Amino acid sequence: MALNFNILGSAVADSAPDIEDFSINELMQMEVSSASRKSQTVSDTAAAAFVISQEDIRRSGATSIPDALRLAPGLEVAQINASVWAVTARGFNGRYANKLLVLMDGRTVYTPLFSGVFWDLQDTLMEDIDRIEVIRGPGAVMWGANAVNGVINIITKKAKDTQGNLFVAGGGNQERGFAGYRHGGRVGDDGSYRVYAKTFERDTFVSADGNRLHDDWRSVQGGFRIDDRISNDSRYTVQGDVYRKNVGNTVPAQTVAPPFNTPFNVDEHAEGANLLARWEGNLGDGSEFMLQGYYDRVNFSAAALSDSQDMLDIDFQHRLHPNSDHDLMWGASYRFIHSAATNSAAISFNPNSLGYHNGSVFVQDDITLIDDTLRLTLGTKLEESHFGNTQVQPNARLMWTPDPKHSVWASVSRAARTPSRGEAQANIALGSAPPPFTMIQVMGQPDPNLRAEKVFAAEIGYRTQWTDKISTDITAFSNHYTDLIMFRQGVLDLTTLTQPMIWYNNTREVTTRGIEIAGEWQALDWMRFTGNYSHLKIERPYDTNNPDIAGLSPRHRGSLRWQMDLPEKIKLDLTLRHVGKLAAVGQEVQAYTTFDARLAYEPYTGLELAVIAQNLFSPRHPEYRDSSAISLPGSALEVPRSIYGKLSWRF
Amino acid sequence: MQKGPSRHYETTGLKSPCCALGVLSGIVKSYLGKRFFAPQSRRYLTRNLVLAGFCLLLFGRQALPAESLSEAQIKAAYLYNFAKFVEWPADVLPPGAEILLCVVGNNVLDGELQALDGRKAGEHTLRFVQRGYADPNLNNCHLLFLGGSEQQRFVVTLKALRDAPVLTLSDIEDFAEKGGGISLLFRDNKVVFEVNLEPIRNARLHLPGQLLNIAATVYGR
Repeated sequence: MALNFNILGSAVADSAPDIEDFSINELMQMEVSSASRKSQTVSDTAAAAFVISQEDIRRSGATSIPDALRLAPGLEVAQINASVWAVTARGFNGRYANKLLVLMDGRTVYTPLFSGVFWDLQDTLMEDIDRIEVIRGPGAVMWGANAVNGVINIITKKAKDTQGNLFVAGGGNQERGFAGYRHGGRVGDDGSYRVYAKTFERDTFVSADGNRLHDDWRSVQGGFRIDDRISNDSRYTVQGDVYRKNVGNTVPAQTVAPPFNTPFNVDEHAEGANLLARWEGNLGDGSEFMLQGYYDRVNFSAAALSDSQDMLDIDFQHRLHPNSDHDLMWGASYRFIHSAATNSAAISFNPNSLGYHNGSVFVQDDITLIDDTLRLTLGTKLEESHFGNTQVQPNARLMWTPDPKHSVWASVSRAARTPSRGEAQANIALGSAPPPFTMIQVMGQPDPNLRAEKVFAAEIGYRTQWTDKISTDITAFSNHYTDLIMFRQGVLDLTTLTQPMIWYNNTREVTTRGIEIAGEWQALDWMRFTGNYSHLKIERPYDTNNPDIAGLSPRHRGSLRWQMDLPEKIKLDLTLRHVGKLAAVGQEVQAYTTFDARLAYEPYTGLELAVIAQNLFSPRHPEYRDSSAISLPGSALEVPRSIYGKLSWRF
Repeated sequence: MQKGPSRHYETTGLKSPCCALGVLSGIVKSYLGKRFFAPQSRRYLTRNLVLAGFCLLLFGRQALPAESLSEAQIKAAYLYNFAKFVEWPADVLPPGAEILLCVVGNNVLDGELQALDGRKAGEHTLRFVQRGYADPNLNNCHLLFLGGSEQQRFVVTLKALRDAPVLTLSDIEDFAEKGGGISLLFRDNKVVFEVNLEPIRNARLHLPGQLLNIAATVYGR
């Protein structure tokens, strides 16, 4: 410990310290001010990429993965109720936003029923997340299905980086209480493991008149990870999680029998488990391969839908260097999905139990045209899905780095989203028609012959390091969608008083354009400003059957973070966030500006106390209304102002 | 939407930062009105589990620790130390010869390694050389630092070196794990290092034991 101060003393006062003067022991103790650390480099990627680091997550005070995603420029994150989020990039947001691919440690997390992500099921110990990579724009070649508007890749730390013990606990008005514990140790010569458990209880959101509703949320989760190394040329990872969630829900009236139109409160449950094994190795020629398999099971029991899903996925990738200018990658993947639903009046699947296969192959070549200056990436993916037709998804990217401080990139790609089982096989009660026709039930009806949605995307980006202290990253894009899966009005059935809304491939093209800007200013060694702004424009004629589609994303979004490392091991983070209004018929949400603050104090190394206050500007604000695809009055839950305290102890 | 009496103020759609004072007074007012935070739901009798009372801390006026090293400087300083401690076979590095420090990659460590050129490491002088990743003469180097841009192809570079007497270093995450000599990693706001003894032994180099004792991880013991 004393060394730490000696080294500071030994540095010459008014010139930069001479690196010759430090011993290894001193270097090991030396702390890099976290506010002074540059964002992890994405300057090498010919895509709109951003990395949210563990430090960013900790300093934001986020207690869930979707909340942490608010840190990334260009991502739309809106909370619908205490446990439900709408997350997407570049438009078409919604509770079941289906044009975004989300991966956790290589495992695809989405529900095959609706192609969306149940964000309340995706969790891990927040402290174990190493980073979250966010790629906006199509990423289908490398990543997989549904990577139409973006990819979110959540990567947890390796077990060797989570050695020892960690205990976190805290609570507040919204975070009623939470606790987590992790233990890590060594196995064998070169291997390590960790186990963790966490639990939390979150309070409900409020209605517009300030009363608590019924959307409280409780979770218990545990898991493990083992990383072992057999030799320089062979490594493996085995990891898994089990969880149980309890989510309060207010089910809207969907009954054709008494009591009519009376919402009722229920507690819904979800249990799940997953197990993943990955083997990575190097071959004699320096090429690298990866073979991965996982099994994922989720069981829901909810008022609207009870079902169980099993997913088995096998993935192989091989990266080779046929000569020094080519970095060639190819791979194949296979997935088996089985889902069995208990049909209810709200949702019924036909057939109610189905097992099906998906498969894909891809190849991508990264070609260096001029050393360290010009790079071309060409790739394509061939995807075969049970629903929809076979899809070819090609991609070309060019990256020009005239000098280390500037880089310009451009890309064109075609990507596809295959229809979900819900769109091809489910009857969904969407509620009753607007007054005065409330006796008419609106039913979403499937179309088994749906084709995949396609996008043609063109992007251009410019990253630059203006000075040592200031850097910016600008991306502009233009997306052209065809065959979007939407509703068309069917013929009103007067005998059952049912108005069908049938899924179909919309023939009209929809265009979205936007600009995303992120900037960083290292004002002082201990003070940093980061900001971002995103502009999105959706060009599409008004469609009475799908009025929400164009209005589900705000036109303007921006945030500003001010991070400070103060004396006495105090860290202060202030975040200002603005989201423009959502202006659709069934989805009117005012623009809002919120303010979060976090104050943390580390009295001893390894022990941190923090107070986090969120949404300080107003007692409550709505972010998104949970309406279905057609304009029905959704339940209007608002995010309350909140405060919580947190203790984390590493030992 | 009715406005009840509990609705003290609404600042959504804030127009300009000039409202900040108004917002602050609004916060105070609504706090005094006991509705700063939404009322607790009645579903649980348990009150807040933990809500540690944090006093407002008055910030001292002391300055922060004056000059400290950047991450790149710390890594360069590590490399300088390794250059002092590692022992090469006498036929590779005769007494008085220069230590050839080869660097592969684009904008490696913000140019901090270049600053080591001409410095004395023990009785040898360090000589900085920038090389291409496909350079066939990399096995003449004594120290070889692979920058972050080499992430995708460093295994090829390592394999091509075979057992040449080169100490390979990098700040790529899984460098030592995949057969590199020493990797410098950023962990919890500090830079730590990992050693893989297998390539170091095969290259006929020797690292002092104390170094291994303080390494974060030692592979291939």
